[in-house]
Amino acid sequence: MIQLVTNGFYTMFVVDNTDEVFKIAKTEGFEVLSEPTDTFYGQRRLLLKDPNGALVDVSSPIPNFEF
Amino acid sequence: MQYCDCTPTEVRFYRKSTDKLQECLETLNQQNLAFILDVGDLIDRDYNSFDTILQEYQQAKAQVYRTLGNHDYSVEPDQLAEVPARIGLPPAGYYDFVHENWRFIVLNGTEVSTYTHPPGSKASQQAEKLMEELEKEGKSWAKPWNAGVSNQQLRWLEQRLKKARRTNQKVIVMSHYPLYPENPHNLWNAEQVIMALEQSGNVVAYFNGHNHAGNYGHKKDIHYLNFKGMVDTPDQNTFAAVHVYADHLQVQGFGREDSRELALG
Repeated sequence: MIQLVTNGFYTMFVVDNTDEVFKIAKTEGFEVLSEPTDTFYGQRRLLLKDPNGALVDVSSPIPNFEF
Repeated sequence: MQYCDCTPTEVRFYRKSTDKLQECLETLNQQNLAFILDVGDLIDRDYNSFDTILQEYQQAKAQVYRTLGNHDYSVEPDQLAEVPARIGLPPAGYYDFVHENWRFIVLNGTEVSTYTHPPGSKASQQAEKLMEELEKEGKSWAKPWNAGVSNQQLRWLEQRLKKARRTNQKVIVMSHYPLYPENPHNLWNAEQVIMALEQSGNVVAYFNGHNHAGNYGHKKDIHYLNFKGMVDTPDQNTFAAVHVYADHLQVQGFGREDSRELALG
């Protein structure tokens, strides 16, 4: 059996409205890796880099999305 | 595809992958497919290679579902964590979706490996130790280019299979790495995944890449189909369309990929 060893981290903020955060990120001059996009797994996702170069995922659930 | 802007070898024609993908998508776009499954290794190396191959992929009319391959991690150590997001996957790299009462489960076979995590990290050391143990046991698939799935992912797989059973869904599972027949390319803990699939009773097929030669096996009502590698030849293409029926899967091969009829049940 393989136990997963955690390694580093992936920061994800789940927010009500990703597009609102996107507006703020542009105003604040964050590096945008991917503008808000609806993903197939039910999240509207924005990808940013923080000032240290770490990946930051800002996502909001797509309303009425069903698996 | 294993694209990169690299000098070809006798068995890898990296730059040709964009033309082959273009031809593949032109054909698949005419098939009115519900979706496209990509069995992994979009790139051979270099993070920038994703830009080129994903740009080519934009012509796909159908939703593309991807899985992570070992070569997708041939990037700089500080870029490793970004790979799932770069190709549009959720952070864990595994997920499932439903189409017309069929559940498709996509596993992340790269989860425990010597290349997914930075060299020297705990996760990388754990993977090296695991591979050494498999080598001692004489397993032919104890190779550094293979990898394994964690207990957490296995538990998740079992939960999704249970959910499918409760709703009478048939299941097709996909990952980059083969499980069966026994082969030096197989997932490190292929036996555990096979056990979960067999115990479920509703899995009809498992699709993968990784072994470029391709392969096929059938065991306990599950078809294991290893699609061939696109990068191996200078001009011959290889890809397939799978047509799903109640009693069989019709695999329509193009180029070097074989056509097959896979009976269900």
